[in-house]
Amino acid sequence: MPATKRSRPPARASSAASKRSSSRSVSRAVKRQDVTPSSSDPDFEAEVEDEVDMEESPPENDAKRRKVAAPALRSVKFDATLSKRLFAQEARQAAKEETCFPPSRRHSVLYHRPLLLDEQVGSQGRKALLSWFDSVSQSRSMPWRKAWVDPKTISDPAELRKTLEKRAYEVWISEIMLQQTRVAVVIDYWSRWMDKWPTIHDLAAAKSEDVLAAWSGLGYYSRATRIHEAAKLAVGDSDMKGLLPSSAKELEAKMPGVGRYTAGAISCIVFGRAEPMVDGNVLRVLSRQLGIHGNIKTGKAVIDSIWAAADAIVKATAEQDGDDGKTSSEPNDRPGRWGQALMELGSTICTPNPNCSQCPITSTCRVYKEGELKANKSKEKSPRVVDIEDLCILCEEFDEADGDSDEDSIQDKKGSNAKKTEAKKSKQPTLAAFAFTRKTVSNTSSPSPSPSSTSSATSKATMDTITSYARRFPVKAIKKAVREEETLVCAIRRADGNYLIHRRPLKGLLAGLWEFPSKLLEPSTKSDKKKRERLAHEYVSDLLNGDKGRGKTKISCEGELGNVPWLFSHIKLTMHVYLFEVGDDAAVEEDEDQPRRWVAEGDVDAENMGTGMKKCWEMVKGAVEEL
Amino acid sequence: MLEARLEQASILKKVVDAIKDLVQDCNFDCNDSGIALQAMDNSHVALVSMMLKAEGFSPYRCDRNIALGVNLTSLTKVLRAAQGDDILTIKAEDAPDVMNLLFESSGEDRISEYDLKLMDIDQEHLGIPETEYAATITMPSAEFRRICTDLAAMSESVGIEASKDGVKFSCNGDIGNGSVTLRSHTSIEKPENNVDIELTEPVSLTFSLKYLVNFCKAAALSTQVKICLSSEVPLLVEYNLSGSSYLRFYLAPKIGDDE
Repeated sequence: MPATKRSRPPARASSAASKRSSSRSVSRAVKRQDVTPSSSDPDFEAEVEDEVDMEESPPENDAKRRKVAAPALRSVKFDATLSKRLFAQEARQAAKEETCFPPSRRHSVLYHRPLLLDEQVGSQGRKALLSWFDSVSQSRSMPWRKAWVDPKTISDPAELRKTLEKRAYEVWISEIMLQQTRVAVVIDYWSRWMDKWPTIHDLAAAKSEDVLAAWSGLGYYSRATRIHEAAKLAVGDSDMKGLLPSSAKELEAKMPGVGRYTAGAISCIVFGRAEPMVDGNVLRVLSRQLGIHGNIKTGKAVIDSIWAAADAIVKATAEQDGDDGKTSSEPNDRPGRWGQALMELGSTICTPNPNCSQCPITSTCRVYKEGELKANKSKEKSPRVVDIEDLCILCEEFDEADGDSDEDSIQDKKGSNAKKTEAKKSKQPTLAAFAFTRKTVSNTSSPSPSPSSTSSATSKATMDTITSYARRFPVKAIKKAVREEETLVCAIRRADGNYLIHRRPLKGLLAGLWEFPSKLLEPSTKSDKKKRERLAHEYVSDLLNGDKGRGKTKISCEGELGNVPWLFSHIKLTMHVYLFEVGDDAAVEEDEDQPRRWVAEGDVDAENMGTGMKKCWEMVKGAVEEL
Repeated sequence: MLEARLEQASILKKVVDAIKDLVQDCNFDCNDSGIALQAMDNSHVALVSMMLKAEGFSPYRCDRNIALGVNLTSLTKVLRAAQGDDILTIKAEDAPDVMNLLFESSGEDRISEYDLKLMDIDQEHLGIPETEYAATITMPSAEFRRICTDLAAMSESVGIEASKDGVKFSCNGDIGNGSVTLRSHTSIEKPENNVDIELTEPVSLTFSLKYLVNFCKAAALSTQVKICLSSEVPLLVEYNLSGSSYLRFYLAPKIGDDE
């Protein structure tokens, strides 16, 4: 039985209503916790959250990012001509393009005209998604989700400006916090942040230490630094005077830390402009809607085309989907609702492991339709001929055997075994070899199955087939290996009970946070305990006595207290914790790059430290008490 | 809230006895149409599918679809406490941690009550393809059990061959070979001894006896058993419970036997 078991928690707080979904998400969290001892670290949670941060890098990093994003497989260009063919006027006839048949999925590039742009199914689909969003938008109670501020309803220009300024600030902070961090965590942080600095002017006047402290625990600390910089810039700017620009282009150009996505989000949600906002969730949703079997993390052409599609669709929504049925080019609440609806769908239903039966927009989903074909075992009557000029350049090959479920591969293997029966001994195949699986496969010699397509309600088996088919979109990216690092954390305790701490560099990992003097081990050194202890000792004596060996403070080492493992999204760090006792006379040299100071034991907790370092501190405190 | 009262506790007892060696843990899926169970054995060769229809209970009430994740060995222990003619009432909350079993002896003078802790079992439901079988054999369940145990003594697998002449169970083992052939047989006095063979085309398939012997534990549930065969399709062995409730077993055929 493909079952994972665990005993039920004794008291079940979760209500019956959302039992299935909640228990599933719990199970995921539980599994993760088993793997890592430090799942409370947001830097780690980022990975769990499968939200890709496509572009929020500081400008100086841009060049580097681009290089990574270069398509690895082939040099496909997504250019203006193609964009026009796919998403301009003709796309209103998108539904004419016939669904392609898995597994060959032979189709012309025009197949990827979004059905959401289609004159009929498209506008129905868009309305369906908007009304679905209106019905669920409050269920996760995100405090930053508020009704759109319609400029027409506020007559006083000063009042309007103030409202917009506040709203833009709220949305901006929420969007930055939500990058790489789970909603549940952000809710708390956001509320506290807004209590502390209710307006952008308050934030601009804040001390950078305080800003970092408010961010402590969220991870990716450069986000906080950049928010602070951007706030100061926006308040100081003679044009903006605290009110963020309304156009996405200007937002992206002027504000540090605001990339294409965040700019789109602010412009849509606050100012009602029709701008695309595409995060990792939306990339997934749209790649399924458009039927693009591509890599949404590294496939440049795929990403570009999805952005272009998102742009075309949000414009269609803004212009055409008003209640009065007239087209309008005025800013309105639909772009914001639309963008958030796509994201909500991506984070609750159209997840990597989707729940297609709950999806409001299956009628415009190419992948859903393909899954239906597969479930009904329809066969392509004659292989479709596609003009070579029009052959799809976005999709990667769809490998039938490459299914993500085990059953699939067993099936194929056993199937071929059955044909070449030359084995002498009889074999016992599993039920999966006989279409007895979640995926009902064709090619059985059994009499034709009763056609289920006539019934209006999709059967569970069909739905399962569709869901597992959809799971294979987008193409799974191979995860980069996590780098392993070891560091020596040296808590140096002076006889008067003060500890030495220093600040990390302002760039890079845990930028600007304070820590106990730490030394990263050379990756080559295969460290054993003795060697580490010697290195730590050397490091501390260098630190206190300088190269010249003057001062000669007495240093005694309490040995290695233990290890703290810590997971970042890209590094697996092991922190070896040491406690050193030094005399009263110990002093350190001033260092321009790396400020250092002595802190009383009681004050260490209040310092801006990473969560991992705080764990080390707990260990040190425990050891000191035992002394 | 689930509340299901079963006049004879023995039905559930026998069902669980019949499947507990195939399946360790499984979900009892309860909804307004009844209580269903579907599970594969560890090696994914056999599948059990049970349906106890709401009509089989009196009364039956299920407000919300719930899945009762049960360890069958534990359930057996609880059911052992019941007398065969006890009245059994199964109860569970909407998001249950436990399943409540209440046994009343028919004399109403003894009531025993047990809470069985539940588990979360992530179980995948399989789609069972609808098949029009080439051969459907109905026969006394005790006869089928006898054939299976007799042949299992000689060999690991049995060939089942249905033709217009009858159905032949044959095996080929190290110590020799053997076969049992049954012909259609109708008896008016003892209809439970009938053997009925419906055939659209002759079929011949090989199956593991170990599994079939296991299925035969369900013989206690019904006097007759239905065996459905089609080439290159899993075998279906069905025991009818009261009304339209049933206990079904599916078994993948062996392939490549050089006979």
